[in-house]
Amino acid sequence: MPIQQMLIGSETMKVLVCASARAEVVMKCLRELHQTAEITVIAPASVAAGLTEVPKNARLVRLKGPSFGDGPGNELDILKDICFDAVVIVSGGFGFTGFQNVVKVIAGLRFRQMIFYNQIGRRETVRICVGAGRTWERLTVSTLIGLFKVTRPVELLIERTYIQCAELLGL
Amino acid sequence: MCGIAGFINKDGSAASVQKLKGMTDAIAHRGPDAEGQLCEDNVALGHRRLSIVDLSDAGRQPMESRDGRYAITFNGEIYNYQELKAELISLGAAFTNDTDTEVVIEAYRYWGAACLSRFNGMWAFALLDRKKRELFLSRDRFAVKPLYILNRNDIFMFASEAKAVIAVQPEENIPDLVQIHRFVGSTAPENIDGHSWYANIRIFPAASYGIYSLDTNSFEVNAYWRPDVPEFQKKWIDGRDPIKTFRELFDDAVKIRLRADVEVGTCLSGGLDSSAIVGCCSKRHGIAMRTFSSRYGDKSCDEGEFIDIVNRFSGSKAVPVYPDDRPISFIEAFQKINANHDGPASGASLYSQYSVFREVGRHVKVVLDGQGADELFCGYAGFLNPALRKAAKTSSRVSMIRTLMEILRENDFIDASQLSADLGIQVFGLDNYLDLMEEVRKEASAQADQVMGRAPFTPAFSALINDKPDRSCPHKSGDEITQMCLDQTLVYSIPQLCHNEDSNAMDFSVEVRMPFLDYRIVEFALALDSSYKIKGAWQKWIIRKALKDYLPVKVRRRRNKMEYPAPFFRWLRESDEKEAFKEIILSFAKRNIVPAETIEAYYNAHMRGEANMEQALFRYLSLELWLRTCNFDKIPDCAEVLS
Repeated sequence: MPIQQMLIGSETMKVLVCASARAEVVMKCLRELHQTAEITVIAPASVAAGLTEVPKNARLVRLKGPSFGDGPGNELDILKDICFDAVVIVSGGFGFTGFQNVVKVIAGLRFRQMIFYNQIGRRETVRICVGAGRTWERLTVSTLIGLFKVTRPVELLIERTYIQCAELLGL
Repeated sequence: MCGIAGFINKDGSAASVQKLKGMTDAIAHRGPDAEGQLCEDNVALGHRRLSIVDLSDAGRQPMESRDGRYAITFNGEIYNYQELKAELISLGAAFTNDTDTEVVIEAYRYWGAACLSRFNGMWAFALLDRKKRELFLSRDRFAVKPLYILNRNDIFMFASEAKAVIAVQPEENIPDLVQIHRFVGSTAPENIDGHSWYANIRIFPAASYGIYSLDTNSFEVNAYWRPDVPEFQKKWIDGRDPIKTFRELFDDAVKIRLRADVEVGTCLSGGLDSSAIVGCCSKRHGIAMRTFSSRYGDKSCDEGEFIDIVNRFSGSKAVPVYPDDRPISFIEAFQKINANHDGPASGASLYSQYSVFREVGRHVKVVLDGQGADELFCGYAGFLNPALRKAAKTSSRVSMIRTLMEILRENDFIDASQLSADLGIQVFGLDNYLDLMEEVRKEASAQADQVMGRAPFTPAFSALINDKPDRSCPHKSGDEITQMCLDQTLVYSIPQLCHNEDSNAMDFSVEVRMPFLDYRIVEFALALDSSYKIKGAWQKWIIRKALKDYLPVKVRRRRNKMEYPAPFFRWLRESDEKEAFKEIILSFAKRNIVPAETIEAYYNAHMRGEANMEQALFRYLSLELWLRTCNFDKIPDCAEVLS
């Protein structure tokens, strides 16, 4: 399904693309977005240098640092106060270094979907809760995380005891 | 385990025995027990023998068929040779000796190239068919045994190692710049696309055979095995209990790899795979083996706790190896490893492996090894994300949160940054994911900011390279995890690991056999649903379950993973060779391949303890040592770089 059909938002959709991957993967993503109204692409300079085809309706922000928000100054400030409908992550490797810096500066966090491209161009979409649903999700998940932080050491103790007994029995 | 070599003079001139002997002398380490040369018109076949099966002179090679039609030079083992022999006898074949080599000849006689699909083993061989005037070459399915080819206008050459070609054709000692680019930049696995470390010497593809016509000098290569996952599904999975099937296949794979007229030992790391092999030999086949294990005083690199448990559990005779003892210096060892590999070694772990085989060679000629299980049964951390993503579609969010928490916090081999953002956000929600990453990232190791994002190559070197490596496995699967298994087994991992293993072992005339690379297990694993490979936070789940009788509880429930560790990061900083390391690494900068400031930044950050740059620094060291043995005069336009 083309990305533009997956996005929820106004006619003039605002899409933020955070790109830190091989150029051909980034360009694959941009080609699939090309009909979307307003695209902002932020990429480290080394990635931006390889982007030979950028759609006319896209603006490219070249970051000086190797990652997002790690460069000098407040180079992500241009993203402030923009309510993006969707955020597209094009990630070149494990994790996505500096993404939290991007999220901090995006005003409103209005986007409801995040679309991820991995280093071979495989795409995954994650829906983001908004409003009260988001608050509820944050509360319940953090409670569960807290609970597991308590129960896991107990489980590990039981497992270690089991293993020691098994060793004594020569198993 | 032997060595093969040979050539064909394309102008029809007589093949020189001296030249052939020059080739086989270069690979004498692969076969110290005997040597043989056959020169006939413009064709030469040479062999170095390591006697494993039928130790008599009847096993000498090159071996001729009874009727004189065929001559073969063979390296490898066909483990099911006894069964094939029985079948061939029923078809009217006659045999003069007890070797698997003769079985190969007769199998080819009766079945032609189709015989390859019947072989269960590892091989690289060249078979001369005098009647058809063809030279038939083949390599096993998974690149366990090596085979190099040089195909020039004047000569066609083949050999187990590139050094056999270079020994008699020194003008071919030209480094392949593409390989250097891939090696330094980690842009592609080594040895894909048929590239070797020498510009004109190619690697013969796995799962293939080639036919060289002596009449036309044409050489055509075809595949005899392809990973047909739907077919494997019908053959090994449908209507069967996967746990029982895997157990039976594993038992038999180990059993047939124990066939030898010499003692067989095992490399034991203390991990799941090698422990299962040792346990199977002991509990199933009643053999208490000699086990060989690398041990370090540095606890971050030592798996002694698990090794000792396995040895006690299986009644094995432990032979610990202490690479730190250093009978030769690290630098000398790295030079030897490079020479063995016909190219620079890719990591310091090869030093641990090399040390183990040095000791193995003093005791036994054959060892079993657990290579292959991580690629086939999702043992590497990289498999976790796609597997968990798949599980998230059917599991409850609560169980997914629990599973991810387990993996993040207790698997000390997985860096938190390896968790895919999309998976983390889907399971934890955006806000909790960001909080969790902030918290966990503080505990994870980090590279110093000043070393990130540095230029990997100089403009001068980059200008020489136009490389678009085909990183993908040519065989596609719609399932992401199956695709990763295919990629790792056929492209990214197994070919290189087999090359490493063969290269290190042969220096000490040791043959390595890998039960997990039994083609039946490979086919089974590729067709197996990923839910049997990763269950919750447990990787290689089916091995833990199906082989539990062969594994002590502590090993069965082990989650952390080390891969032939070696504390190179510490040797760089503290060993008495650290100045020598420094000199070599910094002199690499003069080659103008990597910017000097990059090398210096990495080195200084590592020495100050700000970052662990051992991987990059080892590659620079290894490559520099290897480049010192190369000839650059023939490389065009590289005046600015390399020499």
